[in-house]
Parts: sequence; structure tokens; C-alpha cells
Amino acid sequence: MALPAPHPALLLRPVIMVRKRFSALLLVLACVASTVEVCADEQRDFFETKIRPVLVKHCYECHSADSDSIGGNLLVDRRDGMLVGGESGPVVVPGKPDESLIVQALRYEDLEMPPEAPLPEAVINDFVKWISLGATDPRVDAAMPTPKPTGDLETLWSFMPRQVPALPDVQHRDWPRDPIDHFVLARLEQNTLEPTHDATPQTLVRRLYYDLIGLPPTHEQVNEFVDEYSRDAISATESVVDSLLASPQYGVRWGRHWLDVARYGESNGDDGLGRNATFPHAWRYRDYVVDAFNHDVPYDQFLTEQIAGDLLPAESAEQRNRQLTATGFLAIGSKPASAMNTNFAMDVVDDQINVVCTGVMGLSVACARCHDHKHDPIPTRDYYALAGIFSSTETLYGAAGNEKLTAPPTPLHELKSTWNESEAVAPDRTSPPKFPDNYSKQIDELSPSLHCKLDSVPDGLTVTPDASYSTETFALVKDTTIRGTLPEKTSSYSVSFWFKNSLKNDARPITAYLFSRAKFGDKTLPGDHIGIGGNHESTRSGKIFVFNGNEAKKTLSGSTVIARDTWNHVVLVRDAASIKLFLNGQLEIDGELKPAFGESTEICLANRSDNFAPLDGHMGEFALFARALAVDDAVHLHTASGQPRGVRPSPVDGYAMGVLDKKKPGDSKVHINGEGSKLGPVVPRGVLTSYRTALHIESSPGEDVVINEKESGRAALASWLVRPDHPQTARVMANRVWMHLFGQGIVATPDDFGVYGARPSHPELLDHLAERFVNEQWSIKRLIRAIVLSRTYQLASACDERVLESDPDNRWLARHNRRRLDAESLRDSMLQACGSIDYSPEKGSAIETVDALINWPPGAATNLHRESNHRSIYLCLLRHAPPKELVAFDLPDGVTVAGSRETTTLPTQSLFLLNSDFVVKQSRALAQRLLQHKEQDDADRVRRLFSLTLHRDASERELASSIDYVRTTEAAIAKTITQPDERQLRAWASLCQALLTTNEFRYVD
Amino acid sequence: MTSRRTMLQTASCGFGYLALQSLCQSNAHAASAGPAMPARAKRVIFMCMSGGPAQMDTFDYKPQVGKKPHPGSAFKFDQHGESGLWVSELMPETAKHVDRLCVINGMYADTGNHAQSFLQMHTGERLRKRPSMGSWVSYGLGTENENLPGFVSLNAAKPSVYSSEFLPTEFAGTPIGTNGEDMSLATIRDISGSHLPQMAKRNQLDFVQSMNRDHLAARPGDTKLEGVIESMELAFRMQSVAPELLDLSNETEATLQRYRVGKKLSIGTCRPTDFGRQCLLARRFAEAGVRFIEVNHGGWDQHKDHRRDLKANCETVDAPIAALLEDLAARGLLEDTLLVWGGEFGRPGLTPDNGKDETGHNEKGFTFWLAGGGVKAGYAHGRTDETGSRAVEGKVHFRDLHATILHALGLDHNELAFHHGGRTHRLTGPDEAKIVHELFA
Repeated sequence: MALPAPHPALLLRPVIMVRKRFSALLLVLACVASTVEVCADEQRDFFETKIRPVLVKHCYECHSADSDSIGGNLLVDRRDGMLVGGESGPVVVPGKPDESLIVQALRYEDLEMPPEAPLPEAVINDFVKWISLGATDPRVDAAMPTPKPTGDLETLWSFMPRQVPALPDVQHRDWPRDPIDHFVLARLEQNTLEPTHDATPQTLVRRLYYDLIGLPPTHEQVNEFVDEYSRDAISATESVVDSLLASPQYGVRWGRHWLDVARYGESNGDDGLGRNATFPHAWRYRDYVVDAFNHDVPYDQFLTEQIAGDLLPAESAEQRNRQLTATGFLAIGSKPASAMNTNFAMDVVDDQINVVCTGVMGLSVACARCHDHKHDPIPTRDYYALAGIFSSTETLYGAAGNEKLTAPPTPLHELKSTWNESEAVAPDRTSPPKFPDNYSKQIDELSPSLHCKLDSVPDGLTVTPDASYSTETFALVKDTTIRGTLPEKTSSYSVSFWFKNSLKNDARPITAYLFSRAKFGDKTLPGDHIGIGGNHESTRSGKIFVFNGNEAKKTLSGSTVIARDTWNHVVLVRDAASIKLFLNGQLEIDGELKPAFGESTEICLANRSDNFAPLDGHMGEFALFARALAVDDAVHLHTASGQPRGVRPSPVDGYAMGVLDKKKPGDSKVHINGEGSKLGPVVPRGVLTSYRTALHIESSPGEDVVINEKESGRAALASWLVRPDHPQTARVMANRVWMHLFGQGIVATPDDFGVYGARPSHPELLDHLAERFVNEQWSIKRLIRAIVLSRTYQLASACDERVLESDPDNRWLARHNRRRLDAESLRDSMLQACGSIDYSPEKGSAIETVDALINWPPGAATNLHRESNHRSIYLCLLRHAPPKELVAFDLPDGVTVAGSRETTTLPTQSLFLLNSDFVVKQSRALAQRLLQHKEQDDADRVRRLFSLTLHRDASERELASSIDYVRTTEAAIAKTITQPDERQLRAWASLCQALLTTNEFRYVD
Repeated sequence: MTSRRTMLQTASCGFGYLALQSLCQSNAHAASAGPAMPARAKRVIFMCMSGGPAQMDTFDYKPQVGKKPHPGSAFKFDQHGESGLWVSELMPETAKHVDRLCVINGMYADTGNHAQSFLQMHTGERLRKRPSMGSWVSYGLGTENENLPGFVSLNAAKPSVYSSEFLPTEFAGTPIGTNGEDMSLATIRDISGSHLPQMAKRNQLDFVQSMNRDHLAARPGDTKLEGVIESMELAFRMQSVAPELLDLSNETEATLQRYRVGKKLSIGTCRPTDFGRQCLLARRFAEAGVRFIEVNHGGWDQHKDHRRDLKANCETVDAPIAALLEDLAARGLLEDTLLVWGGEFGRPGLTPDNGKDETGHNEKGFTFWLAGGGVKAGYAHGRTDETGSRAVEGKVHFRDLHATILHALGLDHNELAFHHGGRTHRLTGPDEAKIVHELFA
């Protein structure tokens, strides 16, 4: 039996072709073989007794025609299945056991099969023997099962190139205002429907305000618009649209839509082991997004910055910082714990693949991590081509709450305000410093309460165990504790000392503790602790920091990396709540740090107060001051030493989460079943390509994405995604924009343009919009402008019953959709109505200085939110601990891409409106606003209230029933609230609350 | 003025899938449904033991056999009750009720990864988000008490395990206290407010609803707006029932003692969860007609200090479980309430006397037990091998367990389906699930 090894060309895709051709070939060979009788009885018996039973028992479950899903496209229940092989090529090469993949897999070499546990060696030896003898396989092959179709072409609509559709003909030619209207009307007419009437200007202006800036117009703005609309409807609408698009509130609204796609969150969310680490720098990405929308950054550039901003050239520090911050898109994902998780790195990669593919292309490729996607033409191979790009990328998410079990700490992008900083040469500090003779005297002139040169046994300090001393290198310490006391319980004090550290900065979690002021032995470490960062948190490695103990849990860090074996001078000045730390005469740390030492006067040197991470090195010229030294004095303590002053690196203005290319990029191997422990063949880095084959789309010149071996490939990926002819990118975004304006997408599943997703209701319209979007330089503002100025958008939401019955889901858009305010708009509208809103962007985040696990101790997370009257986008979006003002109304969890939000109706929402502190407080504020004008009567107040909340006049009936309601309520609470002013306030507040609760307030027509 | 659509869309009317089945035969997912099966149970209390309880030191006795020491039970076991079922010394109170238990010793799962198996235990699927079992049950049966949600989850681990995902959100679990929150204080958010007396609040809601009705009248046929009006009424009714349900002050001191309410043991992996309060609340919710009540105690993932931490975990849950069984039986509720106890997988055994005190995960064989709801009492089903390493007889997968739980409730796991995203979803997933008929009396 001498079946030739299949020609490599036969193993290339398309698989379907190969299979067909090859089985035909086999059929011919089989006919020949039957006459020649190549299967000797003995060999046949060997197969039947030793090989077939093993295949049946251990392999058929996943690799036979009856399997639910055929693993790796490989069938071993037939001869040609083994010879042709699956995704990894043939598994049996007759006569060559070492080249046969099945033997390698059984030996658990590269592949590992069967996955549960290796088979006994004797069994493996049987396979080796069988293959050596020519792999006799008497099984008569049934016809190969018809390959599962890769999906019929209709289901792959989103992969087809975009069309430039001609304007359809319509009967009511005077109705359309924009090409958009032609497409919509054509569909309506096909379905024998006609558009309902235009919305009233009152309805239209409220809709425009909410859709474009997420806030309602004031009553005055409504009236003004109605007035102008009556003169010239079109120009009045254009002018209000243009002013809304130019408002900074526009970015707040539309930035938030993108944050839903970007699964934005300010903490990791539950890592599966109940831990939830803060992301103190995530807010910078939020600000980047708001800013990008306000500046109408072209969508292609917007995507490129988020995927490969770190690789783009920059011309200023500001631009560089912005582009680095943009890559936060890839770093803010929620990760499962790294503890006992060998797949952690791949989990991070998976999140990145998912946000890019789902967010940008509307394709869910996550399933392909484990198996070929059942219907979408995305094989596992394509997944790992992308995986190679992201596994060649370093993800900078930060300290992960200082808990390595949740995620290993990483550095962050450093944002600096200086551009082109020249690399300053750091002076050599490796030799012991030679101080001028009067140095000690000069220290003493500043009247320290204690000064020990540490060139001999010190007076006033206890050293355990004793150290050795010299005049050149001072005290030699290792596991040494040097203890003393401050003369008084002063809240301000200063210390000055020289030290040399001999340990590598990555040798242990903390390289060294140099000084503590804290009660000895207290495990909660109440006090100040100066240390040098180690490998616990790579952003602090080698940098000096001051930590104020486990209760307050705050750390201030420097930015200079202090090289091992160098001599450095430190002055710490604590002045009540503020800290200044000077390193070699330069201000290194300057900030607020809550004093935690209380009444304790205990200090220790070369160690921490609980004897942890003591300095391995030298310590000298220690001075302690019972007061905060002036800056000049602190600097003088160094200048007097005659040693070179420190060079300050340009300051880091802040940190941002993001990504960088790894130093050594590399391709990824297929992870069998998605597990890191079972690896398949290597796949070259690349983008999704297979669908082209599936659809027989010819590659055009230059279309092949080439990834430089020295790069991760993110830049190439980004430029592929934003190609004008990319089949999905523009369609997906145009659909997202449409969805936010209509409440439903042309494709109802905005994150799924694949086989499982919905089909477009108006495919030509979608292509028209996408085409227009690309041709208008990917301007989102222009796309929005075009849509909202269409007649379709400006339809009323009311319609006659026939339309409602024949198209209950409003698929054909004979009317506009009535929508509930989302969580943010609801809160913002309440703040605006009650007069408490602050429209300016809130700086930073409530947790910008908190690098910690937020759910321990229990309930801690709820204390982290801060009260704010800024717009809701600026509230702290902790995953799994969201702000309680928003949580009831379908806030996305920030874990997965959420292109569209749920709009549930739940009793917990009503409870929020009836009882929440927020609503009660805002209602009270509004009532105070109404009651402050003493000259007004109740009717005036009710009119004003309707104007502020519902932006319209109250009807006579409403006026009467409101006044009546206030009186009834005052009477009802008269017993419990005896103070008349308070009673009046409560009654009015309850009316205010009622109006804020109404559907009229919470729904937009 | 409630339309049929609204009735089906809001939870307040008590309509579940069964009712829906008869009401609207044309509905896609109910079209193929046959006659409803007899229901043994009306509700479920799921005692979720996250982390992987050590079955061989609780309910699956594995004594040493043969000469060579092997992994098995490290704690002492005794036979209890008339049934003579074996229970470890760590569960003395539960052991007193052993004749009520139906122990499944042959459980197995697909993975030893906590997060995935935990998700699979709750939703049937380990990799993707799917509706929780509680959502399926309340979707299937509707609510029994129009003043309360059909599914509540106490000390809930994370939203993905009480989410209704693509099922209508009215079937989502209402979380009461989330993992990490102090369970002694856990409540339904904003369930009460002191800014107005209740009477005034009713007036206020009447005012709102009258405006809402005017608003709706101008927008005829909008089922969402109708739904809001209904939902506000349910919320209002919940205010009158839920705070009282959550308030244990009218329970006697003896009851609080029996349940060990307020006892918070914090040893090693065992974290304080006030499991006693959870169980007592579970009884109260069951009495009030909630369909699916999940209570949670984590901390069973004792890798190190196995003996010490396991002891603490057992001590935390033992008396509350016994008290719950006792109360349900005494009130006649055990007949139609199905109790389910177990975790996402089990643990390998320790070899006694060799000093090793560390364990890992074992998804190949572990124990669940059921009680009430028409299951066989004082019965043990299935078996693991001599070292407890894998299930060998009467094997029950999570999907089989799910099918069995639904069966007890009179729901056919193949029929209880929902069409979403282009295909039909079931709690038991695409693979065939087997109802374990032997478990029923």
C-alpha cells in the first residue's frame, strides 16, 4: 500500500474542493487496491484489535461524522479522513510514524490528544508500529459527509462589498427631502404603507435635543424654536441642529454611546474570585472619547488611534498623549483572575479581539477561539491570526488593585507635557559621597532634634542587631532595625538621610523600606513609610514612595528610578496633611497624604515599623526634625553635602491605560478548545481573510495585509479596518448612528452583522449611508446632520391604527419610535429641571487616586462614589458597583460590547423614582426653587413647575389638580410635620417628584 | 385597561409560560408544547455552595478499603435516621434530617474552572451568558404573588448568574445583597423611603398615574407605556410586602437561634455570609410565593487548610439548613418546595493520616442533594468509585439535574424554550438531557 502523501497544494483552502477531489482520487485507488489485496490478514487484524478500538473509544466523540462538532475539521472514522487530515494537515503519514501528527499528539508533544489524559505508552507504541507497517486501514470509506455549508450567500450579506444603490423611484415624489427619504418611502410603498404626519415643532425640538445632546430644551428654547419653525421650518431646524452639534454637550451624549461599545468601566469588575480592582486612570480614555466626538475626529482616524495610537507619529506632546490615551480602548476590558488561570494572557487577548471585531465589524469571533465558527465564515485559524497581533501587544492596565492574584501589575503610559525632552545625563553616584568637613555642622545648624552620622554606634537610636560602621560608608545594614523617637507628638516633622541600596529593583515585591513613622509592630501600619518600589508594582519599581498604611491606603510615588548601588539623599517634609520629598536636592514628591501616625512618636530607619523589606545597603547622616522644614532648608541639606544635584525627569502629568508593541512580536499557535495547555499549529499574524475565499471574492492588488515581523501588526489591522472598501466598518457605524437616532437599527442587532444577527430592513439605505459616511471623510457629525434633517427622522411617533397593526415593530418606519430616557438622560434631565446641573466636564474620577480592590471590606465600593451635579457620564463607572443614580435603568455592565441597551420595565425602576435619595433630594431642590419667590401664588408655581419639568404650559385641569394635590398632601402630613414651612416644602417636593416620575417626563415622542 | 400584550409583558399578572401556552397557542415557542406535566413542586430554594464543596467529607462516605491507604473521607461518618444514609460529623444538625434528603452522589461536570462551572450550574452554559435557571423557572411558571418578583437571589455572586439575558427582563432575579456586601443589612434597593407617609405616597402615585393615563390616552396602543403603569403598581405593592418580609424582628429569639442568624464565621476561606439570615429569608419568600429563591454561601474552595476551613464552612451552613428543613416540613411547605444543595464541582479526597491538608477541584464526581418537592426521601442515588475520584454509577450531569428540577416543577425541559438570535434556546442546552426519574417518589 503506497498511498502518496497528499500534495501540499491539496491541503490549502478551500477545504471543500480538496475533499471532493481527493475522495474521487481515493475511490479510484480503492478500486485498484481491492484487486491487488494489499491488506494482509495479519495487518488487518492488528488494525482491528489494536487501532480501531482505540480510535472508537478515545477519538470518535470529537472526530467522527456523528460528532456534534467535528474537532479541528478532522475525521478519524474513515481512512481518507486520517490521510487528508483536518486543519492541521494529515494525521497519518504511512511508514513515517514520527512525521505523523497522530503520534505526536498521542505523545503529547505539540498537540495533546486525547485531551483528558495521555494514553498508555503501550497503546502509543501500537500506533507507531501500525504506521511503520504502512498504516493498513481496511475501512471502506463511506462517502464523505457533505461538508456543512459555510452558510448560504444571503446570510453573509455583510461580507459583500458595498453597493452604490440608485435612488429608488417613489410614487409620492414630493414627500422626500433627502435620498434617505427615497429609500424609506420606497419600502413603505412596497408594503402599502404611508408615512404618518410630520412631528410638531414642540415634539421635534425635544427629540433633537435629547438625541444630539442628551438633555431637553428649556421651555424658552421650545418656544423660540416653534416661533422660528413657523417662519421657515427647514432653516429653523438646520440652525438648531448645527448649534446642538457644535455644543460641548454633544460629545457627552455621543461619547457615551461609544463608551457602551468600548465596554467602558473604571474597575475590572468581578474577576471570578470575588475581587474587583479599580482602574484609576480609565477616565482619561473617557475624556479622550468625549473630546474626539466634540472635535468630530474622522471615524477612520478615531479607530486607528484606539487600535494603534501608540504607533502613530505625533507632532506635539498633546497629540502623543491623546494617541496613547486612545489605546485605552484595548486595555480597559474586564479580566478573569490570573490566579490558577493558565489562560490569563489569552483571556486578555480574547477581550481585545472581541471588542475590535464586535465593536468595529459587528462580528462575533469569540466562538472561533475554541472551534470553527459554525456559520460565520471565521475559522479558528483567523482567530489565531488576530490573536498573534494582540499577543504581540503589551497591555498596560496598571496595578490591578495591588493584588497579583487578580492580575499581574503592569506599567501605564506616562503622559508628559514636555515634548522632545533631551535626555539629561545622570551623574555617577556609585562611589561613597565625600562630604565637606562642615557638612555635619551645617545639618546641626538647622537644629535637628536628633542627628546621627551613623559612622559609629549612634546615640539616641537603638540598632538591632548591631550594624557595622565606617567613616566612608556609614552604617552597613541588612535585616537591621534602627529605632528612635520624636521628642514630641508633632504632626509636622522632617527627616534627612543618605542611603545606598544593594538589591536589584525587581528582586522582591518592595526593594527596601528606608524609614517609618508609625507605632512599632502594628500590622495596619498607621503612619508614614518611605520605601523603594520593587516588583510588586512595576510602575513603581526603583522609585521612591511614601505610603500611609493599610487603613488610609494611599501611596505617593516619585518618578526617578533609583539605580541599585547608588548613594542618594532623601529629605521628607511632612507639614500636616501635605508631603514633600526631596531626592538629591530636587523635589520628587509633592502631594497630600493623610497623616495616619496619630499620637505615635516612634520612628524607625532602614526598615518598616513592622519589620518588612528592610534595606540591604548603607545608611548615613540621619537627621530628624520636630517640624516641617522650609523648602530652602530641605534643599540646603543636600547642597551642603557638595554632591551633584538630582536631574529631574520631566514630570509625569498623569498615567493612561493602553497598549504597546512587545519587544519581540510573534505569531500565535492555535489553542485547542481554547486552552493554553493544548497547542496546535502556528498561524501567521493577519486579519480575517477566509471569508473572501468563501464568497469567491478576488483579492485586489495591495489588499493583502502584510505584517512586518518586528511589529505586532496593530497598525496593519487598523488600516485594514478603515479601508474605504472594508465591507463592515462603515456599515456598522452608520447603523449605530441610525440606531441612536431612531431607537432601532437598520440592522436590529448592531453588534452582530453575522449569520446569527438580524438582516437589514433597508439594505440599500444602509449602503447609501455607509457610502455617504466614507465619502464625507468619515464625519460622524455630518452623518447625524443628514439623518436628522431627513423627513423620515422628523415624522411624528403617533400614527393611525392601521399602521400600528400592520407594522407593530415599526420596521418600515412609517412613524418615529417613542423612546424611554436612558439612565444618563434621566438623571441629567432631573438635574437640569431642578436647577442643580453643572454642565462643565468633571475633572478626573472619584477613584483616580485609589488603586485597590473595591469590594473588600464589604460595602466599600459604595463609599467610593462621590456626589456630583455634573453630567452622568462623569460618574464613576465601577463595574459591578455602578452609581446608584443610574443602575436601575439598564446601564450596561461594561463587560461586553453593548451597542444597544435594554429598555426594561422593572419594579425596581419605579422604586427608584418613588424612594431614592437622589430623586427625593432633587425634588426638594426643585421645590425650594419654586418657593423662593414669595410673591408668587400657587398657580404661578404650578405653571413654573410644568414649564421647568415638562417644558410646556399646564392645562387648566392640571393646574387645578396640582394645587389640589399640594393641599391634600399638606393636610395628609400635617400630623407628622408640624413646622409650616417644612410642611409646605414637603408637599411641593412631592408634587415635583410626581412630575419627574411621569411618563411624559421620561419618554420622548 | 390592560391589553393582552401587556399582560404577557409584565410580571404583575402572574403569567408564565404555562399560562401563556394555553392562552396563545400561536406563539412560536409554545406552538409545539404538549399538555402540561403534573407538577410536584411549585417553587425552588437553591442553596448554592460556591467554590466546590468537599463531597467526601460531607455526604459521600469513602472509607479506606484494602491495605494501601488511598484518598477518601478525612472526617468521621455515621449512618443516620431510618434510611441509614451516611453523613459526616461536620453536619450534625443536617444529619438529623437525613431521612428527608435525596442525595445524588454521581454528579459530574465539564470543567474544573470555577467561573465556567459556576455559570454552567446556573445557566447550563459555561462560556456564554444565558438566562439563569431561576429566570427559566419563573418564565415557566409565572409568579404566585403579584406583590413580589418571581425570582430572588440572596448574596448573589454576580449578575451573570441571576440574569434573564434574552428572556424578558421581568424574569430576571432581583438581587438582595450582592457578594461582598454585609448580608445582615442586605435589602431591595429603595424599597422604602421616609420622605412621605405611605398614605401620601399613594396619593402621589395616583396623581402620577392619572397623568400617565392622560399621556397614554394621547398615545393609544403603546404597550410600553401601559407596562410602566402596571409596573409602578407592582413596585408600590412591593413596598407594602417586601420590607416586612425582609424584617426579621417579628421572628422569635428561638427561631433566630435555630437559624443562627447573625452568626458570622470568618476562618480561612470561610467568609461571613450570615447564611442563617439567608435561609430564614428564603423560608419567608417561599411562604410568600416567590418561585425561585437562591441563597449563597461561598468559601468552599479550601485549597490549603482543608480541614479547618471545611469545618468552618459546614458549621456556617449546617444549622441553618436544618432549621429551614424543619420549618418547611412543619408548615407543610416541604411537599411543594424543592430544595437543591450543591456547588459547581467537588474536591478530591484526602488520604487520612498522611498529614496532607490540601485539596483541589474535582468535576468528575461530586454530590448534590435535593429535598422536598416530591423527591424520594432518605435515598442516595449514584455512586463514585472507591476513592471518590469519579462518578461511576447513576451519573448526573448539570443538564440532567436541570431537566430533573424542571420536571419536578411540571416543566418539560425540551418544551421550555425561547427563540432568540436565530435559534431556540433551552436551559439544558443543545445536548440531550436526561430526567433522573429514579429520584422521584
